[in-house]
Amino acid sequence: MWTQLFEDTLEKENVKIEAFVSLFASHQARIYSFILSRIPNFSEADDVMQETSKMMWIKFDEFERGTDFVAWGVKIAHFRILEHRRTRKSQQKIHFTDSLDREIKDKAEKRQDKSKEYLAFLKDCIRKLSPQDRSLILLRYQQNLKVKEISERFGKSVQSIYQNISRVQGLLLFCVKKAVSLRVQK
Amino acid sequence: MKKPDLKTRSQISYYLNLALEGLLTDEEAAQLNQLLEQNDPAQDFYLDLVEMNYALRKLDWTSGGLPVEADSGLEENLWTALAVYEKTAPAVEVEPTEEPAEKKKVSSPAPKVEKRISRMSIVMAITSFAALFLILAYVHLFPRVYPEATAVLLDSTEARWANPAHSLRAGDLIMNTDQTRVLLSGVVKVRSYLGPEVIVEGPAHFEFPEMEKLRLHSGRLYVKVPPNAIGYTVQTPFFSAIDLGTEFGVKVDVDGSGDVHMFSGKASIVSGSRGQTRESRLLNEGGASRILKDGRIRETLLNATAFVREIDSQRRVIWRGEPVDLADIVGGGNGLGTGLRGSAIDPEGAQWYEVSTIYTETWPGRKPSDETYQRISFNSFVDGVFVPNGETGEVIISSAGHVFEEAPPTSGTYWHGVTHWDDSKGRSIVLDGDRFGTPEKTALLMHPNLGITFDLEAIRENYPGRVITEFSAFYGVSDAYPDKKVQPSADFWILVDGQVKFKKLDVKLLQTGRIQIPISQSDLYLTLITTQGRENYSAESQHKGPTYNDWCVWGSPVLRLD
Repeated sequence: MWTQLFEDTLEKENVKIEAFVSLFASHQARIYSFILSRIPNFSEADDVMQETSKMMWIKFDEFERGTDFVAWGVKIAHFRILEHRRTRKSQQKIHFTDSLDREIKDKAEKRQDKSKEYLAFLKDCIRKLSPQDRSLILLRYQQNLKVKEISERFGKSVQSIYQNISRVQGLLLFCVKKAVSLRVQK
Repeated sequence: MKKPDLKTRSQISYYLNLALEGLLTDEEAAQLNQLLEQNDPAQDFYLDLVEMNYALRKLDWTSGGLPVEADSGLEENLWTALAVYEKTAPAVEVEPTEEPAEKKKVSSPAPKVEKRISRMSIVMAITSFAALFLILAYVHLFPRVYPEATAVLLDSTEARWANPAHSLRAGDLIMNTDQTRVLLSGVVKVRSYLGPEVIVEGPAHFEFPEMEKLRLHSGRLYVKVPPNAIGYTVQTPFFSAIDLGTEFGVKVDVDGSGDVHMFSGKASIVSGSRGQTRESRLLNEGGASRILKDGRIRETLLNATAFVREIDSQRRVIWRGEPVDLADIVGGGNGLGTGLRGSAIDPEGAQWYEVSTIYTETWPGRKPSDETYQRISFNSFVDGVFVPNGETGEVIISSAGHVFEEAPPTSGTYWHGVTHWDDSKGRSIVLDGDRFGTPEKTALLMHPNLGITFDLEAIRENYPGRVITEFSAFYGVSDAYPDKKVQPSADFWILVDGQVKFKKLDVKLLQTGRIQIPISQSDLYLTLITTQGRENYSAESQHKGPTYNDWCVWGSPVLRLD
């Protein structure tokens, strides 16, 4: 009898874990982007994401299956963000004004899930970059070098590397948007 | 929607990249704020960038035919530098990756072991399962409450807390594990986890134990629930109000009885304590219920101003649903009674002054040295003042350049400024038997020829989420001045964005009326004008001007909000 109870409990827990992992894996990009939009600092956003995922797991029993997982996760993330700021863990220089923070929050909440094609379009657009620009993006994101490291390696000013990365990001955004709009037209 | 220009996009992108690495300076952060503030397209671009940064960071570089090494396309000197860096970089000790040689297995027959289960093991197993069961049962029966934020304080005004350790400032979180808070006085505005905004007025005992619920032990509060949070519940000792998409106020007396007043939408009221329902009732907009301690629910009258419905500490706004008083605004107030009665705005020099002595003496009519529209800088709700005279050309009546097309010819003279009248400082103003110029019934005294324009958009900013629906006022010529030898006669005009919405010409002594002008959300300027009546105007006459007893009054001039 005890063994059966124990096995049933384990079974239920496994089903719960699978359900959570599946949902979380599908939607973590949206939740992380929500956090990053309000705490635009990778290191701090990572911390808040960790706290958020932990709280989502703890409260997963309260999540009503079939409802909007992202909306639920974003609400939890919102309060993790406030908590992060409140406890003064935040070293970030960028503190949006209250009204701007509200505007960003409202907008970020309403953003649509990026389609799976988004990543395919992004890869395609990276391939289309000039060799110089593509190299810069690879060093920054694939090799995960900090801008300062890139600038030190190549003897360029930090500012010029930032400006170039910003420029290339603009090109990529334009390229991806164009690809998405062409797909919609088709 | 127009996308931001290239310069703005570059700046946003540059600042974001700095921020992502934690290298943004305060000054740059402020500039980024400035670029994004109230700029929809810029915010969209910013969010696009954030999402792309995340995507690039998480991109699977090993699939999809992406190059996994940087091309040799960067400027040649960069790669030369990289080569030098690599040659001169300190050697990195690498751990050997080869697996150690597998140990040769020596096979030998394993000795046969007789399987025996000791009695001790069985006891241990049963004990372990029993312990596990108890743990599971405990967790189920006494679930651990994890501390988490259920609400955040948005604003407060003159809040005094019983326990200083419980005091809250804007941005502070309220946790589900917090003890009951006691607000001795003042008002606080809180946003619950799910979005409802709650305004609590001291003295009040309250807590936010769950996301979907708040508990009011005593005191009063106002709740505005957005559609996504329908079902939000205000629990009190003897009843609960369950929202069905509404705005409502709840008052709980010290003995636990209380009221629910429904300002919009519907709510369900359930009386009874400890899960025992005594009565329930659906309360509709405009209705109110009194819930007695024994659970009986009785109808009562809605009190439209019983609850604080909006606060803004910076603008000193504590709004209970009352209309915005334009006389109070002329007195330097926020429209809710904070202005100075007995003060005026004079078109001469566009100045604000106290009228303590002026009305006790004869104050001759005069012409302004500058006849053009006078912008007001010291009062954000008043756009400007002017002395109308259609004889001298276009009469501009707003900073946007609206023109008073029907402006009649006048003498161009006026008596006194636009005045927030104080009846305790001199004469009483009576219209149709009602006394105005009191704190309850304010009055704007506008002896011809005068005009004042209010900035509706600036007033709206004070009440976010509210709509100005109507301007209403009494108008008439008071008999405040004792000399009845000269018959007063004056014209009253109301214009919205330069369009005449109301005019009453040649209004005589004691002639009064009430007006209501609908205001739409797109209306920007409301203008009130008085001009001398036709009977007091004669181009040939030597006496050309308003009479000294043209005491033109706008009684209770208010804007109604919804």
